[in-house]
Amino acid sequence: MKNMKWMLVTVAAAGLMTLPSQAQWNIPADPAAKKEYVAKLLATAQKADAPLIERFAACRELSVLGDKNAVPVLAALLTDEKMSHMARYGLEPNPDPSVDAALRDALGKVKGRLLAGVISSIGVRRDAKAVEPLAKLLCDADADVVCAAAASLGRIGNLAAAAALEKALASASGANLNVIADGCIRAADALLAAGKRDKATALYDCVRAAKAPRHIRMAATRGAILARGPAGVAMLMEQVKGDDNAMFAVAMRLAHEMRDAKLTQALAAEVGKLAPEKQIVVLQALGDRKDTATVPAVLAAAKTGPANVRVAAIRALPQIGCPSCLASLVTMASDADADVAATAQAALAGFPGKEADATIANLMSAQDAKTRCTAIDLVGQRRVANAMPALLKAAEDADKQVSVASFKVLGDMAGAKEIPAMIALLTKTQSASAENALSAVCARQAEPAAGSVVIKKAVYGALPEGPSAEVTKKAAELVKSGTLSLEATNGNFGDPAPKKPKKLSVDYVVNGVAASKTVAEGETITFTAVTASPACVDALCGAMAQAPVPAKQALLRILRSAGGPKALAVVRTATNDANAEIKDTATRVLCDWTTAEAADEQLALAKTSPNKTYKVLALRGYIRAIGDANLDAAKRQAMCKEATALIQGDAEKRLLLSALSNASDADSLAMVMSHLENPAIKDEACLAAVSISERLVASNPAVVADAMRKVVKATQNQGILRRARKALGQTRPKPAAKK
Amino acid sequence: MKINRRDFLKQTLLASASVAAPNLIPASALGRDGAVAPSERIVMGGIGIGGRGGYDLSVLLQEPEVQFVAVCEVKKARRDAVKQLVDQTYNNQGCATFRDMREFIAQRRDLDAMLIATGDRWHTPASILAMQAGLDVFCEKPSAMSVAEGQALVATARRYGRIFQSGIQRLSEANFVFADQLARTGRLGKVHTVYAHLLPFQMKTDWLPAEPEPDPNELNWNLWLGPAPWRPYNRGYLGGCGAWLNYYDFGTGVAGWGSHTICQCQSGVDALDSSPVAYEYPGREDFDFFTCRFANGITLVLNTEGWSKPGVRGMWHGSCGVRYEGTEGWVSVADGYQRPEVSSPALLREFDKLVRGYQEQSGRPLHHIRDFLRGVRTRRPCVANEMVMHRAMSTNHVTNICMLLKRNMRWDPAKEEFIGDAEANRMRTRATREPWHV
Repeated sequence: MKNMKWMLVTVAAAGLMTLPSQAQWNIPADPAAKKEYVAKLLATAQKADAPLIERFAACRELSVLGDKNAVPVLAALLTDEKMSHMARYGLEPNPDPSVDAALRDALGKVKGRLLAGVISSIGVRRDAKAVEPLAKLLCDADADVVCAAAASLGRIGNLAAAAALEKALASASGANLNVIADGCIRAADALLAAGKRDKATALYDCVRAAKAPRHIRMAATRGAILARGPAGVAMLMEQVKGDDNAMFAVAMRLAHEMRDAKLTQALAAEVGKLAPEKQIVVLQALGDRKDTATVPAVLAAAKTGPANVRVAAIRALPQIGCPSCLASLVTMASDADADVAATAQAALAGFPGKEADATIANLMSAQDAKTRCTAIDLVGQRRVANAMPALLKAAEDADKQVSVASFKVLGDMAGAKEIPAMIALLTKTQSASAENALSAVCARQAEPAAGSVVIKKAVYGALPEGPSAEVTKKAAELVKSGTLSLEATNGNFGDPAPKKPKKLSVDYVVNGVAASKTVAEGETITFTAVTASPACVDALCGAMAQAPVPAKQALLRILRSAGGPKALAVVRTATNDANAEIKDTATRVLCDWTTAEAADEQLALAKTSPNKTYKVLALRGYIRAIGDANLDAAKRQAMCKEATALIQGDAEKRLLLSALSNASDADSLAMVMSHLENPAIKDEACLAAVSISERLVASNPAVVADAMRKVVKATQNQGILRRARKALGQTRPKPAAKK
Repeated sequence: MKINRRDFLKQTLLASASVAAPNLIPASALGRDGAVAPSERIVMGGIGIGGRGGYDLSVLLQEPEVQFVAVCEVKKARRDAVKQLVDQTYNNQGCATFRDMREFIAQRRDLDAMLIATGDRWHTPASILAMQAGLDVFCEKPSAMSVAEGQALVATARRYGRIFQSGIQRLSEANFVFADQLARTGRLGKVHTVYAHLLPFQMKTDWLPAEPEPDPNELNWNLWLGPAPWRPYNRGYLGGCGAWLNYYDFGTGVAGWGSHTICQCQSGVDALDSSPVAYEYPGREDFDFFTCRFANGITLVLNTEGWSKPGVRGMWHGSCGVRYEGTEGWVSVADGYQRPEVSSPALLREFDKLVRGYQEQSGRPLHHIRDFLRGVRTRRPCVANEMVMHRAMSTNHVTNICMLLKRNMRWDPAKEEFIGDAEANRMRTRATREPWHV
C-alpha cells in the first residue's frame, strides 16, 4: 500500500475521533433475529459513506455469518481499494460455491496488489476451475501476482495445476523461478496427499533437475524421497553416502521423520562406514529412532574411534534404552578418555529402567575402588531405593573415599528404617561423614508433608469469649491443598466477629504427634518442625548410654537436627555430664537449639554464663529462636526485649532483624522500624520491614502504609523498593466495581 | 552445488558446540582463544527485535557459535539500537540494517537462520518467507494468528525441511521439565486436572483515534500492519506487546500466556500432538476457570487468577504458572520459583533424578536456544518444533473462538475442525491483507 493518507482523510472525516469500542460477535441465537442481524451487516458493508471501521467490522462478522446473499455484496467490493481486503476477509471462509465464481470473475477486474489478494483467496479455497486463468498469470509482469498465482496453483494442486506450473518452470528465471518452483513443490505435496504418487514423484524430480537455488532443490529432493515410499529409503541413503552435504542435511532431517524400519536398518548398517562428522549426526538420529536393533552398531561406534564420535554414540544409548548395553556403558564409565567416561557416567545416571538400577547397584561390589565410588554416586543420582543394604555395607568399606561417598548418598536417601544401622555405623566409625549423614536423615524425619498434617479442630473468631465459628473443614481443605501454614485472616475463614480482634485456634496432628496452637488475626500457624519423629529421637537417645565419648558428642549434635522435647531433655541432662567434653558439646548444642523450646536456658546462659563463648553463642541462639514460626506474638515481643537489652554489636542486630522478618505482627514491625536510622543495618531493617508488611498488610493496612512510606524513603535497594511499593499499593482501597 | 563457507559437515562437527554438550566440539573447530572459528559459526539475522526479541538476541550474542549479522525492523529507532548493541558486542560495524523483510531475505544470502520476534500478526508470514528462502527459524510465540496459519507454517517447515523452534522456552527449563516428568512418570498417580495461568481474555475490535502517519523512514506503518487489516495509525499500538496484544487484528487472545502454559500442560499430559476435545464457555466475559477436556478425560482449567495473595494461598505465585493434580499428589510451578511446589517433599527429592533422566533419554539440553542451534547443525526437530507450536496454538485458537462465539465447542484434533459448528469452523482462518499470503 503506497499511500494511505487518503484513507486517513476518509476515516477522520467519518468521525473516527469519537468512535466507540466496537462490540463484535454478539450474534443472536434466534434464527429470525440472526437473519435481520446479517442483513444489517450487509447493509453496513456496502454503505459507502459509513465509517470504515464499521464496514470492516461488518465484513469480519460476515466471514462467519455470510451466506449466498453476502456474496454479491462483498464481491462488488473486491475492486474497491479501501474495501478489497475486508471483502475477501468476508468471502474467503464462506462455503457457498458462488464465492469461487465471484473471485474468478474479479480476476479480470483488478490489477497489481488487489489482484494478488484475489488470487490468494482463490488458492485458499482451492478452486479447481481457476487453474486456467491462474496459469496465464504466471507470466504477469507484476512479481506479487506471479508469486500469488504460483502459490495458489500449488495449493489447488490438481493435475492441471501441476502441469501449468511444470510448464512455467521450464522457462522461468530470476525471482519467478523460485516462486514457481515453490508452487511446483506445493502442487507435488498436494498430489502426494491425494495418492497420486507417480505424478508427485515426477514433479519433484522435475524441480530437482531445474536450475533452482539449492534450498529449493533440497526441498524437492525431500519430497522425492517421501513420494517414492519404501523405495525412498534407498534414495535417502544415497544422500547419506554421497558427497553433497546439503543433501545429507535433507536426509538427516527426514531421518527424524520417517519411521520406516528399513531406514533404521540402513542407517545402522552404514554408520560405521561414514566420515566421523557424518557419524555424529547419524548416531543422533539413531538415538531418536529408539530401535533396539541398532544397539550393536551404536555400541561399536561407542567403543572405538574418534572421541567425539564415541561421545555421540554413548549419548544415543539411553535414548534407545536397551539394557543390553549397560555392561558396555559401565566399562566406558572408567574410560581413559575423560569426555567418554563422563558421558558414559551421565548416560548411566539417566538410563531408563530398573535393570539399569540393578546393574549399577551390582557395581558397588566391584573390586576396583574407583568403580565402587562411581557406582555409589550413580546410585545416589538414580535414587535406587533397594540399594540401601549395599550402601550401608559400603559405608564400612576399607577405602575411605568409598566410605565417604556411601555416607553422602545415605544422608541424601536413607529413611527412618536405616537410622539404627546408621547409628551403629556412627558409633563404630566415629566419622564426620557418618555424623553428617545421620544428621541429614534425622532432620528429614522432622519435615512434615501436607499428607502428614491432620486438622482435628479449628476455630476462628473473637476468642475465647466472643463470637466465633468452627472452621475445621476450611482449615482441612487448605492443608489438603498443600499448604503447611494457615494465616488467620478473614480472607481464609470469613468474619464471624466483625470489627473485633480475632484469633485462630487449631488442634492438629503432625507426624502422629498432637499439638495445639493459637495465633492472633494476621498471624500464621506454621506446621514445619513442630515435632520430631519419635522413632528417630528414641533411637538416638537409646544409643547415648553405650556410645563412646566422640560418638556421644556426635549424637548430641544430631539430636539438635532431630529436635523435639525428648531430644532437648537429653541435651539438658548432658549439660551436667561428668565428662567435660560431653558437657561442653551439650552446652553448645543447647546454645544453638533451633526452636524456642530452649529459649529460657539460652537466655540464662547469655546473661550469666562465666564462659564468654557460651554467652555469645547463647545470645545468638536466643535471637535465632525469635524467628521460630511457632512463637506467638507476645512471646516473640518478650524475647525481642530481652535480646535487645543484651545486644551490643551490629552482627547480633542483623540476626535479630533476620529473625523478626518471619513475624507478621505490628509490634514486630515497629521493632524493626526502630533500626531504620542505623546506616550499618538500614537495608536489613528495610528488608525485614517489607517481609513483615507483606503478611500484615491485609489485616493492618494503616500501619503497613506508614512503615512502607518510610522504607521507600530510606532504601535505595531496587528489590526492596519494588516490594515496598507493592505492599504500599495493597494498602490503598480498591475502586468500586463499575456497574 | 556444495555448501562452502557454511559447510554443513563442518557445522556438524560442532553439532553440540555449546556448553551444554561440549563433547562434540573437536579441537579443530576451536580457535586458540577457545572461540568458534568465524567460518564455522551459525550466521543469523533478526526480524522485529523489540523487548522479547531483545532478550533472545542477548542470549544469542553470548553463544560463541553464532554470528549475528543483520537486523530488519520497521522502526528506525529499534533498528539503530539493535545495530549498536550487535556492533558493540562484536567490536565492529558489521551489523546491516533493513526495513523490509523481503529485501532483507533476498539480499542476505549468507544467512543460516533467522530470529523472528515481531508482533503476532507477522510471526507466520515472516517465518514462512524465511523458511522458503532456506533459513531455519527461531520464532517467538504466539506463532500463528489462526489454525490455518499454523497449518501453513507446519507445511512450509516440512516442505523445506527447515528447523523451527517456537519461543516456548519453559519446555527447556528444569523446573517445568520436572513438573512434566512428575506427571508423565505416574508419580502424581493418575493425573486428572491440569491448570494453566493466563492473562485476561481480550480481543478488541475498536480503533484508536487516527493520528498522522510518521515518516516511513522512522516507522513504516504499512509494513508494521503487514498482513493484518488496515487501520489508521496511532502511536498507542506501538508500545510493546501490551499495546497491540488485546486487539483481535493483531493479537491472539488467550495465547499471550496460553501459548506457554497450555503447551506446558499438554506436555505434562503427553498431548503435545493433540488438543482438548471439549470446551465449556463459562457464561461470562471474565473467563476465569474456563474448562476444557482431553479425549482421555483429563481436565484443563485456564485461570487468569490463581496468584497467591495476602490471606489467600493461590495456585502459584509467579507468572505463567501451571499446576498438575493427580490421584496421589500435585505439583505447581511458575516463573521465579527456586523449586516447584509439591504435595510431598519426597517428590522434590527426585528433582535431579527426573531432570537428568529427561536430559539423557531425550538428548536435549535445558537451554531453549541451544536446542535450536543444535537442531540447525544436526537437523533434529526442536523441542518446541512447528507441530508442537501448532497444536498448542490450536488449543488457544479454539478457546478464543469459544469465548467470541459464547458457546460450548467440540473440537476434532485429528481433522482439525469443530464438530457440528459451521460458524466456528469459518473462524479457523483469517484472510491476509494483500500482497501477503501464507
